[in-house]
Amino acid sequence: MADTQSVTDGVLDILEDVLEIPRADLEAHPTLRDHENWDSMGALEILSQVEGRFGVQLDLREFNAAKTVDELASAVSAGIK
Amino acid sequence: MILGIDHVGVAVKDPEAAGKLLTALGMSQGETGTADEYGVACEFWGLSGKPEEVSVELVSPTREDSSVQSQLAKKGPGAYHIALEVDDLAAEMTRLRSQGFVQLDAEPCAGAREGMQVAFFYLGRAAGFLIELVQYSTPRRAQ
Repeated sequence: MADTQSVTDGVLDILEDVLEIPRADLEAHPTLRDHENWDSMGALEILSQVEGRFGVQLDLREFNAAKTVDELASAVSAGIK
Repeated sequence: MILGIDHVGVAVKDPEAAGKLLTALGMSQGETGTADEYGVACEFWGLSGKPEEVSVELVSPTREDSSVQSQLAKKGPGAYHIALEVDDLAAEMTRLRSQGFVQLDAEPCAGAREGMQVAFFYLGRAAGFLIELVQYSTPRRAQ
């Protein structure tokens, strides 16, 4: 089972790649939809990469309910368990 | 089983203006309808009018939270999905999900054509568009 920090790190890696935002900016401003690069297709790419990296299947509504980096990491952790 | 390509979906802000361009290409408007689950109005355009023809679907928003609103706001009009007719929607949804495609609809939704059930999937960044699985109550293509 992955620990919380490694899940958060993995989620940040994906967000950094897809949104093209430095990790420090994501950590300073963790609300995902506040970032200018956030859009619906980007969100789907994030979900796709999260599922592939962590081997989980998240419902889209569950994914959309996650508003911040930590909430997304928590949803992933819950899916891993 | 996938029976064939049903249509190409194009998000538009101004379907009348887009329709004039398709008319200039020699296409004509066929069926129209709304897909209320997605908050969109749809026009199907083609060359022959035959049901099995691959058509162009002009998709425009009918409300603020329409499924195409984000694409139009960020990228403007353009093609965003390819629809595939299938003979068993539930089975194909399971197959695509098992292959790792992201499922946008937990359950099939009513499409804009009569007898049309649909479900959307995200194909991935390498392709950059959506797949719409379509099943008609009366299939349009040979099985």
